[in-house]
Amino acid sequence: MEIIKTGMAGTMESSDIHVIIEKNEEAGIKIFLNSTVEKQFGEQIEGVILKTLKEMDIINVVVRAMDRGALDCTIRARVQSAVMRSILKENELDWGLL
Amino acid sequence: MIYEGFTVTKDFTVEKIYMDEKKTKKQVLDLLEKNDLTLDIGLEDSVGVYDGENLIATGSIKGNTLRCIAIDQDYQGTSVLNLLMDTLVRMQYMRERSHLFVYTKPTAQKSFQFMGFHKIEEVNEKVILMENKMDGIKSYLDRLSKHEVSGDKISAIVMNANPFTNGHLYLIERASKESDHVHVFMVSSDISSFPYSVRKQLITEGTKHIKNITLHEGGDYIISNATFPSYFIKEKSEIVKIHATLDLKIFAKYIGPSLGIHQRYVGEEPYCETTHQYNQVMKMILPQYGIDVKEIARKAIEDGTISASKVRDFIATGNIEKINSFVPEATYTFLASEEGKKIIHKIQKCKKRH
Repeated sequence: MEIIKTGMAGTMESSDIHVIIEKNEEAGIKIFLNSTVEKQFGEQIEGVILKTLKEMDIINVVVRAMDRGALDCTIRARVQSAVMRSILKENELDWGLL
Repeated sequence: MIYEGFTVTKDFTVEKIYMDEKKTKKQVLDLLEKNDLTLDIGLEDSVGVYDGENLIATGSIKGNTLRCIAIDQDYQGTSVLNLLMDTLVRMQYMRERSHLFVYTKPTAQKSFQFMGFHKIEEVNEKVILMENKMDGIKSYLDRLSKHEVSGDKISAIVMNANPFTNGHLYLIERASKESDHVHVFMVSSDISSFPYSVRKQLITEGTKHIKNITLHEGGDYIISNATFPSYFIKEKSEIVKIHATLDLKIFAKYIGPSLGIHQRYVGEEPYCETTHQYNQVMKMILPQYGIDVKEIARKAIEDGTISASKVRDFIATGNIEKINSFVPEATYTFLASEEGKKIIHKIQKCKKRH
């Protein structure tokens, strides 16, 4: 899947995560994570993001995530929404991808 | 719109602020004043967070920047900042802007850091410029440095070229003769009467014959809404000085070194106070970082010295033939085109500074 435009999902409220999905000019996945629980769960959060992207077949992407202590299911949902928006499929959800 | 009347908890509401409502505007001004801030000119959109009837936080947007952000002291350190920032970021996202800048006091650095912003540069404890991309300026510099040309005399010129005149051409030719290579940065914020695409096209065509130059898009870090907001609007001279310092520090510390720049050429500015002040600050700052400033006297022709503002004045008063001796052929040809006529019409309709 190719990223077409910048997509965003989530909020900066407590227990949520704000995710921005951008086109990557270079190849690969690049994640910039900022989290209130980075020390404890940084790797775990990045793992969930990576897994979600992989499931959606996104290979070249920049992810900017600002986490406020979101649970894994929230992280997954926010990444999915942001990706859907960035591939212009927000209104025609491809359930096969989710 | 998402932020209008959007209830978050049963206590706080976020609402759009219309500055033409006197009572609301006064509330905003009071809140800003308590936080030692003033209301900027030309804001695009503003919002307020209310606890019941009370305005407890406010913030605005302008271009890709977040401005005039203030929170009532009693609510600082609570989730009100999250709510406010979230709303502002969302408003920007709706406008398809995701690379954002915030212009604030150094004392607020920590709060914005917490909201995912990273410091770019600071001016003597007065203002700090931050961006929401961790790798923002770095990736810009990485891209720039791919165009590095080695030589003993590498020069830079920054121009808005609104529109491109023989004066700009003279400055570039002069720099080109005296240097091994010249990097020309074109101010790319689209706030001037001539849009960036046109300015770029005219510079490109007008400098085709010069071999040792590279044209660059100025982007967000050179005389932009973020680094030098007062360039585009008349502001008080103290503010201009701070903005100019910020812009030039970024140039001297980051952009210059990434291209190995030794000197920056600039045209003398006898007309515009803002640009004049910018040049003065340039002569102060750049040498501190080992970059020489070469201020070149304006090119004069029979009808006086050449300047883009004169050209715009001629346009505004309908003296299009007079422009001929002021601009390169490409610019003149463009003004005669359909697209050019539209811009002429626009300038004649609303006369503004840039």
